[in-house]
Amino acid sequence: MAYPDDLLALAQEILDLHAAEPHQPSLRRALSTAYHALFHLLIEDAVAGCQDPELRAALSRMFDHGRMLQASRDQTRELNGFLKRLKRGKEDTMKEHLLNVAATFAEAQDNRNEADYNLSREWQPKEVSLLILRVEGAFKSWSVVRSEKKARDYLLSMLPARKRKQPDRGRSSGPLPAGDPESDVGR
Amino acid sequence: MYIARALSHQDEFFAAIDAATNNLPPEVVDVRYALGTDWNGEPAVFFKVILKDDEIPRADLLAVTWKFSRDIVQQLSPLEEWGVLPHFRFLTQTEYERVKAVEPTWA
Repeated sequence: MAYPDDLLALAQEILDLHAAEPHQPSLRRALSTAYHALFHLLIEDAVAGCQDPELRAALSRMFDHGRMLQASRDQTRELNGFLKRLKRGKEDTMKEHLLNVAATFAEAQDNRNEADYNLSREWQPKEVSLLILRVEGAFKSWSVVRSEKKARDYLLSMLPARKRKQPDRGRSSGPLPAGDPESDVGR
Repeated sequence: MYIARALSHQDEFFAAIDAATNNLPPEVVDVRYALGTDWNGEPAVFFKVILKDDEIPRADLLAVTWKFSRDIVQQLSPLEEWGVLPHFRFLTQTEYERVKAVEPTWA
């Protein structure tokens, strides 16, 4: 079993430790673990194509919670707008799944912060059970869309902007000319 | 300084929420809401959705709650139209009573 799946299973196990009572340490740990399961699922997929273990590890460290949150919120807003404009009766399953992933990521991160640092909030077992179900649902949605271009773009948008170079369709495929402001990308 | 429209036009915003939550599905007892800021300091609207105890089978829980929050977001466009991020918290009636006792802002 891959590490993100292990983490998600662990989140459920922690929740089940005190299933009948609102045991705050267990509920908080379960939420935090579920968020990290989704966090690592996306990063693992983003760097999966890299064969060198050291480079893969370095690439993984480029992802940070704040940038991933912003990318997820942007994606959620864009997809919500698109799906709202979709004619009644029409569906776009791929975008629905991607929306589920992005919206769940943003929600899970917020819950993780609340769970880890806001001790005045009282979590409840069924409430947390539902939030873990949401993350499980996001795992399933991701398995459906992970190869789609839109999903790969979502992963790319999680990287720091300065490090990314978008393909320029209007330019030849040769090297960037000296002095081009984009030529320092990757330094 | 940017002020979200939901904050500067609270009465209108709350009326829009009331309209969007006018016909609750049978498994939802009540929807409460409040404006505030979320963990990242972003202006936000917090929905507290109270579900009937044991009304929704576990197998349906995810779909029912996801649809409910999606419908509200689609109708209200809280971020696009009002400048606030929507946050949803789903609790059963029993859980809500427990939370209300220890989180005074819920009373």
